[in-house]
Amino acid sequence: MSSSFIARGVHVDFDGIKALDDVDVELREREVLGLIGPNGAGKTTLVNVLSGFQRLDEGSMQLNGANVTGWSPYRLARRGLARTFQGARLFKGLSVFENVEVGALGVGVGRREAKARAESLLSLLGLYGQADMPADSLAYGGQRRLEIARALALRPQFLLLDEPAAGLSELESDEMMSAILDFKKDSDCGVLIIEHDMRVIMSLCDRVHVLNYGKTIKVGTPAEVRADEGVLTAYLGVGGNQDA
Amino acid sequence: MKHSNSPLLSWIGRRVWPLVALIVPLGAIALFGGTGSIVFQREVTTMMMYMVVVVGYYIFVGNSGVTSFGHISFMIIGAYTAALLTLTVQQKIILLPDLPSFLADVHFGFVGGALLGAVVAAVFAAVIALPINRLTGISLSLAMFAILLTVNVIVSHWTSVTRGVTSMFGVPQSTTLGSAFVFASITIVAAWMFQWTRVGLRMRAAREDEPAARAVGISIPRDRAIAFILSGFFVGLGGALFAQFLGAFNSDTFYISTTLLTIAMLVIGGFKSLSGAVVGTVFVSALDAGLRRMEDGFALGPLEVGSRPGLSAVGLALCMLLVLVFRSEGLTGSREIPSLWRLRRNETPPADTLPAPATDRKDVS
Repeated sequence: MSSSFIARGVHVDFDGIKALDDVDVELREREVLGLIGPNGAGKTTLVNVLSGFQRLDEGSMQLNGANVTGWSPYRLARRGLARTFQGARLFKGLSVFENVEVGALGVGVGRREAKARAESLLSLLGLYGQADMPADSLAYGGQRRLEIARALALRPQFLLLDEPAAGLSELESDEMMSAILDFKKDSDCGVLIIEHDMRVIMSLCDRVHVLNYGKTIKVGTPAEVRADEGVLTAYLGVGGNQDA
Repeated sequence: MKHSNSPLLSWIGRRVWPLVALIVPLGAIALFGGTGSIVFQREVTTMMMYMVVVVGYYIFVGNSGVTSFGHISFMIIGAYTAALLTLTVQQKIILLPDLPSFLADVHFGFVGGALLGAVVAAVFAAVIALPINRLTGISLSLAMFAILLTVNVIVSHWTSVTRGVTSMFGVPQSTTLGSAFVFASITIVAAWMFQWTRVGLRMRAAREDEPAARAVGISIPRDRAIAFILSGFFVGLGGALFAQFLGAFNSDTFYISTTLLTIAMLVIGGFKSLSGAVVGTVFVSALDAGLRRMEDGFALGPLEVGSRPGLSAVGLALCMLLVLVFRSEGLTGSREIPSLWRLRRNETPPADTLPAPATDRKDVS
């Protein structure tokens, strides 16, 4: 049976303001799902809900058929869900190597296996040479790559990336996406990615989920989304936000 | 700095050398102390016992990043347990006539008393570990302070077992400079090993960023509970050593002032590193001993300064204030002793694990 991560009818209110309003999202194995929308559309809130950091007011979540509604982040991580954060959140007092090692140790693998994962992921993300440096001594691009290496160390079934290329140069962004694709070649992992760079979304994603004001306005292939009038209005229409 | 490709040398450089660099100077201090006056020997012995307490305290606070204001409750439990187990049966008949028979009829030697004091403190820590470690930040700190107050009140009123506010005396004074040094070294080795275990590494990760730690599957309360119990064991051991050093003590011997002194030792040294705990204990012990001598009056060149009671407490508080303002990570900067050798992974990675050059990668644009 193929794995899937499904959320149905997700509602989240912040003091009466609907951050998410009846959102359904489905993430399948081996696919890359882009999550886009103007600023304030609810993208990060949805990732927070999916990863257990934000309690949903209504709705349900299923991971491979099991009801995981209301589960804490650490339980979801142990069930195969990894995420990154909008700004790189590293274990700054630890070395680059330990940051990735902890990613594997967190989900209960042995020390030897955790070290092996760290070595191979640091190589994949081009950080091997900085392995023993303090994590906070890396340049920003390195920190973003390290956060992804740490998430991949969980060997997740599903990976949620919150603007992984934000603040990176075009070259760094391409390198990161290339590393993600390299990882995906040998993995069944399903990836959800929030990204404002449409170049990345259109080239990387199998499907795109568009949010606006907390509601789903379109789910489809990149080509379908690009041709959708509702999406164009949300991004480019009168009063629309054009930063995406 | 030497370079080494040998994994063994690299491991020694990273894992063994920092430990040696802490324990050898401590051994030198113990040797030097042994050659001094009785007063100096007692001061160095006291420092070694505080080393056990502060490094034990560090196991929880340093790895979790959460301050506890109540760890001295484990010291109280360790001290009273050791006293009750090392007093002779005859002494107990006279001092504690209402003592339950399972305590009245037993007698242990120095090591047995010390270890069982530590074990009982660890059991107490285990009982409160899970509820306490569901709390975070200042809530946990204050909950531990409440535990300290509670333990103090119980000890002060449980006359049949603790003699209440009256001094517990007659405890064999078995703790020597040598034994205190041995236990201090064991505690340092245990703390060092713990922080490199899976639990220790996960705890230090959670100390740096709790949400990121939860996102990688770390159960923070469970890991903290394990460190809490280990920490309780060693702080209890420190209490047991103190009981067998002082010979007589009461419910207020290990209380607020001991709490403040041990916090000062950890903060001044740098609470996020074992080196900080060790350096802070040595520095504050020396400062405290020096200031106590000056309390009786001293000469500054031609200037004669009279008796200054309280000089030690004021001096320590001032020192802590200066460290907090000008060097918030403590004297060691909360860093460990650096490695002797350049680390293996900072050199060229194995050829088969080298990532492809960026220019060769698939273009995603």
